[in-house]
Amino acid sequence: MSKKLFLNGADAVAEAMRQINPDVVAAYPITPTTHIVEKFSKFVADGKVKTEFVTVESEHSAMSACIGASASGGRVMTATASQGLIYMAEALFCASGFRLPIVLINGNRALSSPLSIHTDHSDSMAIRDSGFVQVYAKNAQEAYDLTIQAIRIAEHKDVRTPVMVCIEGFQNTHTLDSVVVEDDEVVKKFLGEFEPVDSLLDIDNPVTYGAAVKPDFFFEIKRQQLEGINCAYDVMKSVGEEFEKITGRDYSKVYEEYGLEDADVAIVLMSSSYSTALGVTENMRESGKKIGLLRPKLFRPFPDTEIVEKLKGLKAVAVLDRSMPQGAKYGPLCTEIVTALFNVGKRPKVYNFIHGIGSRETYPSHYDEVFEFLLSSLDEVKEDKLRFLNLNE
Amino acid sequence: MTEDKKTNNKPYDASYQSMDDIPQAKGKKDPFVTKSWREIDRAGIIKDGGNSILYKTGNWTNKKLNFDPEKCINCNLCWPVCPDNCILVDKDGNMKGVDLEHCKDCGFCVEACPTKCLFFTDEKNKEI
Ligand code: SF4
Ligand code: SF4
Repeated sequence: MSKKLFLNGADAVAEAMRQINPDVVAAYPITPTTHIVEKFSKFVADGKVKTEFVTVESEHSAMSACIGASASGGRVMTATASQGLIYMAEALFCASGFRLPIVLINGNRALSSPLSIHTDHSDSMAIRDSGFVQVYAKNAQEAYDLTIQAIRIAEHKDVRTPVMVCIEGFQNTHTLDSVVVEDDEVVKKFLGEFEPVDSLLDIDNPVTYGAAVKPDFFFEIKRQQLEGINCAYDVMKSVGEEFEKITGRDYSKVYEEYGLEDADVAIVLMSSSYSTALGVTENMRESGKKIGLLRPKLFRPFPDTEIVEKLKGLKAVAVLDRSMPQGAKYGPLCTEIVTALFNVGKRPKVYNFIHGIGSRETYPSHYDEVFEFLLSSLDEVKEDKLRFLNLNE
Repeated sequence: MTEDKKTNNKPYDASYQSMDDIPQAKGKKDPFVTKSWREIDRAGIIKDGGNSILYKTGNWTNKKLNFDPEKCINCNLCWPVCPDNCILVDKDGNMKGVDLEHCKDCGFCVEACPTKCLFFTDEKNKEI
């Protein structure tokens, strides 16, 4: 029987990890994901899992140990955030290049300097082209659900690519939420037996990882890698449908939407901000405003076709980015959306807002403000420039 | 991968006489590229282990290693220091010479040899 528990997002992820029971977890503590591995190491100490828990001296070593363990044929997980993720950066590209199905939980947190332990997406956005599949959860329930699904996506034979589950530091990792935790056996059955592929420990079929490749093959190997990550798009949907069958929670789509069917304007955003924005949208729609919301759950591979389908009929769209695009025209989410829409004949005007940097609050009034801005832009097109929500100008 | 190894060096050795000799210029298939990305092993993983013997690197050297069997006392001190398994010792422990197809002129064996019967000469290794 599934049970409803009162958990914060980090504990929900630790519960998922207990049920996944990976062969190896190598991790280094960092706020705000310390208590994921802290709780998990307790499961290890209490004999609740058979995991080899490797306490490494840095995040670079954590990912390196994960790579070794995964190439040796283990089911492998880790968790990190912010500076830790960036310190891992070199090894992240190796993990994806080796096509190792490692699952990494990232607690989205701002990057230094100045030092901030608070939330934004600068960390995972900085390594968005590292070859990891990236999914962004909106709450503790989704963090739990996506962690379990990430294992299936990463290990799928057509994907064989590491997956990063991004949950927002503090907003998700530290706030209590009611979370349905599925029965251990149900999760075990959903995940299936882990079958190592090209394992270094399979001495009857020796393989070499990491040999240097000259210009005659490197391009082809990278093209092949692209195929792997792009397959994650379909696989995420089919894994989601299967997950929905056993849990009743809707995972058939790689995005969540509200009100788009008859909307003129919409806000596109990711992660936990969706919940607040949803309340505002519901209220404003009651007073007859034709507005909607779209939240991509999957960012890499970017689900451009579906996003275009959802947005092309609108008149104006505001994309809310939660990372600072230093030197770029738009934030990373807006850049993707503008790119996806560029070759569509009839397309909406797109405006970019930066919000929630270093846990700057985005209050309901700010979503209200953005919707009013979009609606007024229908009469008079606004200047194409970066805008900031709740910044002290 | 065995086949691929054979073709690896060739394009780099080719010297084109004029622009017309460059195959790409004529819209031909690039001779560098031998296999589609759909056919190669995932992630550049090498599945036929122990194949480095097929990849001859002896012509990367600047000096040639020589062996004088007259002076050799069969002490085998050269054998464990070679990083590339190029010291050829038979199963009775007799030093038989060096594998110039894979020797990379690091000089470790030269340092180790007490009788100086391993020595470099200033010429390219022509045996490859
Ligand atoms: S020079 Fe180096 S590579 Fe060549 S045989 Fe001696 S030890 Fe081996
Ligand atoms: S170290 Fe010199 S003397 Fe000893 S076996 Fe090798 S070549 Fe012969």
